[in-house]
Amino acid sequence: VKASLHLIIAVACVATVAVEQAQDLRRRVALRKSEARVESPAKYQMRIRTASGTGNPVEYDPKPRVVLVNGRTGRYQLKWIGYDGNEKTIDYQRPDAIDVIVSADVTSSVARRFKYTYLIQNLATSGESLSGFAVQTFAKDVTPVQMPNVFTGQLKGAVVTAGSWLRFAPLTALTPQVTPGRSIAFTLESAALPGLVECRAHGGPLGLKGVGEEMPAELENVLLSQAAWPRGHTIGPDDRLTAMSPTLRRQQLVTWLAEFQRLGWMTADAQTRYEKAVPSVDASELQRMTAADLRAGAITPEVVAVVRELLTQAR
Amino acid sequence: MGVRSTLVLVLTVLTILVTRVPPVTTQVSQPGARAGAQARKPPKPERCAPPVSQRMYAPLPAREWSEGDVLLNNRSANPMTVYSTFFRGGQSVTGASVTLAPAEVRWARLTDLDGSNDSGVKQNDGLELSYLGTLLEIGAQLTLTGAQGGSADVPFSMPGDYASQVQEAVWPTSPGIRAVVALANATDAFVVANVERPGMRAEMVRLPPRSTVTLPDPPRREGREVRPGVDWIRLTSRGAIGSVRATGLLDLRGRLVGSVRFYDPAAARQSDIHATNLPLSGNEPVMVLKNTSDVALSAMPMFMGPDGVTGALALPAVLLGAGAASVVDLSPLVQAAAAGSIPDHVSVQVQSTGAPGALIGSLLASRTGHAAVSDVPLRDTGPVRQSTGSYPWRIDGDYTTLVSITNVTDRPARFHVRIAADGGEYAPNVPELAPHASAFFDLRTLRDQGVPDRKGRSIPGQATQGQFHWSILMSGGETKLVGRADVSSRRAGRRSSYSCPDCCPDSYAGYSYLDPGSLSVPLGNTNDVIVISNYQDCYQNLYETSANSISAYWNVEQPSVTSVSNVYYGLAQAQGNEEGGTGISGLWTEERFIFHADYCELEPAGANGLGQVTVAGLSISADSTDVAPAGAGGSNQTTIRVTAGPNTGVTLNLEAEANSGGHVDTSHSGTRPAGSLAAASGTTNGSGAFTTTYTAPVIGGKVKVTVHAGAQQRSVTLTIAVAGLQELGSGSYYTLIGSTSSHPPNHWGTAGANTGLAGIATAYHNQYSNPANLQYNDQSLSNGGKFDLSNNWGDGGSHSEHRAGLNCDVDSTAVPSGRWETLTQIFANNGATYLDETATANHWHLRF
Repeated sequence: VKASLHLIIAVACVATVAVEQAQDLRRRVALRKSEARVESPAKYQMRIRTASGTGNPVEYDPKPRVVLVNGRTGRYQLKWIGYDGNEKTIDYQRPDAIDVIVSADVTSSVARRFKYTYLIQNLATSGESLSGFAVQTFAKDVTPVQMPNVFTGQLKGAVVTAGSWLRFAPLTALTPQVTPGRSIAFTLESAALPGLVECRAHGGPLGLKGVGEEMPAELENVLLSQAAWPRGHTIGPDDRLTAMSPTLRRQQLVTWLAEFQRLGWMTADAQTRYEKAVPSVDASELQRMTAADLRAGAITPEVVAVVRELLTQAR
Repeated sequence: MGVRSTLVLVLTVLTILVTRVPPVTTQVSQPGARAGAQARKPPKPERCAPPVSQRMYAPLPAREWSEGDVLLNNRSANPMTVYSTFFRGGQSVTGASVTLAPAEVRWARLTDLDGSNDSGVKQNDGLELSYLGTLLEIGAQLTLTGAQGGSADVPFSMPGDYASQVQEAVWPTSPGIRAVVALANATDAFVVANVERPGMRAEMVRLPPRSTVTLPDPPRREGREVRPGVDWIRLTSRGAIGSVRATGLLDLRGRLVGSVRFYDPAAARQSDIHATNLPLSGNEPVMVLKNTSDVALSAMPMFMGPDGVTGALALPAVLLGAGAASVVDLSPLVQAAAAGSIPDHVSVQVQSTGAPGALIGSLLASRTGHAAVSDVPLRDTGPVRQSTGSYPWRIDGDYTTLVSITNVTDRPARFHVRIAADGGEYAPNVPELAPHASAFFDLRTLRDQGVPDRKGRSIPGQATQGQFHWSILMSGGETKLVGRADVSSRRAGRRSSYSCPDCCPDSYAGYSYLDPGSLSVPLGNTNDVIVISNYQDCYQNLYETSANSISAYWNVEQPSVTSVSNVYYGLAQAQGNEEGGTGISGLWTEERFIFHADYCELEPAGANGLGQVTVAGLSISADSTDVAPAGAGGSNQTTIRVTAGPNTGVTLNLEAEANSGGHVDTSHSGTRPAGSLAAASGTTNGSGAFTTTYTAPVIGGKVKVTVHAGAQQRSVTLTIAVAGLQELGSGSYYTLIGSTSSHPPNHWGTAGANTGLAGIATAYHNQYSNPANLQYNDQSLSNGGKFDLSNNWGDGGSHSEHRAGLNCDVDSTAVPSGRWETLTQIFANNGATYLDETATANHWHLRF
């Protein structure tokens, strides 16, 4: 599995997912999508425009409304009557009409920096191209591995409730785009140990194309914010683990096992075995255990990476 | 007037809280009254008597009853345990003990109290109940049921109930009725009782210690079996006073129809005898009287309606020779009831010319179709403690409880009520009772109507039983009131009367206060203040009640500001004479009783209450002085409140403050909008209040609302603004543009928007090598609201959305087009959505 993943990254940043990879990932849980509704405003304010001829202010009904164009692709039209009396239309695509599975692996370098690689699969069922992936980190030394035609930058705003978030965004020059059925890998580096973190992804264009006047505030209010981006969990650098004693790291790992199982990173049977083994079995035995379970498809590389790095790294 | 209508009238009066009467006094300041008038916290209640072992006794007649219920009523504020002992042939058998929660009433089956293992309670037993506490802290009453139905009450008695060795009873006879009389010796000594009955030779009855003897049926006496008559017994014991306890049942062919009540003539306090709540409608009343003295006397029965006046009926006086007994002809009363000229429930007073205790009587009222007969106690008023009560009540199933309280004097009387149910309490306000008037409390109606008391409490809808406490107030030590609870169930064929008093009337607990403590009075108008005093009963229960402020002296520190006068008990009124504030204090007298073994000693107690009165002239206020501009989200309305003298004409006007809210008025054309009022003029109501609604315009700023009343005027200034806007201020990596002479400050936004804008500029700067600053054009004005680019105070045209601090226009001409896509990614990374207007208006319209 690891070899396959590296091969994909080495050959191209974007590739069709290998068949064997899909089999392994079939148990994974896709990022959870927002249930936010995009609907015509029930109440809105009248507008005032200048009447042609008299020049007097005249109140008029802007009739703001939302028209669903395609529910699967999340496409809408925002319509209203403009100041010139003509109907205005702005196309809008919601950012969460996308089905995404995230998988991650961690490798360590000689310089004792970890390389975190995220494979973002835009599933064939998606309604739009991937336009961004953001991952939560708890380390100060996180640096993204720059890729051509991919924007990277720190994410701020509503979703940032803890830690520091790094966002990767394919630019329009990236070829091919991460359309449904394609995937892309992003990489970052950090000396911090891998821990359970949040991540988000979004699709579609970021902005709206203007039509010469601002749309009514009631239509602006229906636009979905960062908070609507599909969300889930992956592994990411976490300095707080580095400061923990080996015993505390094992305790931390035990508390994560149920979530690993829920995320599809391990079978229920494996969860039970690891809940017993992690507190007491020595690190080398646990490594052998993870290697065997990975081969058997009972756990994913995320679990292997976390067990390996948390239990073998010196404090 | 029918029963129902009468009750409704009375209850309506009772539940209308306090009946106001014209002010009695307009007090002037009393020099020195303020001195020492410090509000005190409620003292820790003290018992009026130390707890001792209390014992009460009831004989169980040998015949004519099949089962019995013992009512146990805990008047205490603490849990109490009652112990029962049965006496059989002089031997004691320990019965069950019962622990009652505070204010709990419980009906226990007689057989359940019996501790023996044999077939159950024996007739000719005696039952003693004991507890550790204060006199009457536990109330108890036995109700026996007949083999063929009906019921009869057997009160428990205590040694203190007796003042001599003589007891007498009188009761009506009619065809088929038999009286079953039992005598018990409640002591450990041998006692002999001399029994005198009419037409028979006196007999000596020997009563061994702790024994009960049921007298044999008297031999057939001519006439008694064929027409209504009267029968009586006189007991004279040779033993300690109170050693003999007597009771009796009236049996009509296996159905119990009443009790034989024994009275000690020496224990009476005055000559007349009284009854409350004699039911007339559909009932057949029977009254018999007996002269217990050796001097002839005249007795005149009188019947009064609930108001003490309506339908008052006096019957011809009955002349009773020494020791004589007689049936009273009640046919005029029955006829008056049938004609509807007398209320359905009346109180009874039998005036006597004899000495106190010389007249005793019995009063029954039987109702067709109702197995149980109303056995209405007819007796001397007794000591002042009789003007109290803590009765049980129940309204489960078809049970009804009607509590009646009657003023038996020619003077008004006051009392208060506390009804306990389901662990809570309800204290209805009750009016003063006029002479000979009665108050009725139908517990089912009170519960179902749910009329709240002063504290907003009501009897819980699921409550079916509890305790009804009442006590006379400001009695002057006189027994003015008598009361009883009539509890009946047609289905169960039971009817009981409960009238057991407390040990003394409730006493002032030493703490009073004014409600509200700080009273606001409109200039030229009045407002009420309630005066509350804390009272406590003998059993550590505390009650808040309307204070005796009817005679309060009010001291006003600034007499020019207000004057205070008494309106009613517990109610005073402050007059707003002049704008300002002043302290007030009231001094008055309450009552406190000290319990003694055989009487309650009255001790007047001084009381005081402190408060503050503020007299406000013309004033204006807004429920909120911060109002959102129209169309900017949030409420753009607020209520404007004006106070002035009552029925005063007022006019309001609005004035927008120039150069407020980020607009320079001289650079605008037209008139700056100030919003609108739902009513710009009107008249204050009787309380001096006038309200209207203000609606803000789309333009932010300040608006002054001014009210005019005659030559006076007052103003309040409203801020028309979106809450929480902050100025962005300058930054290293962005430049603020777009300021004009009309709108000099044009970069106000929410905290989130400002943080996002700063983050965008920094990220853009870090993304490229020393790029030109981003150019930030208009956000919102300092107060938000419409950003009228056309400078005409209008709501139309561009910048329609720059009202709430969420938007900013970023100039695209300052950014090389090759960086636009990266910049828009930076917008997204900092929480902004954007409208791309680069093609038409050279900017991105950001929204955070």
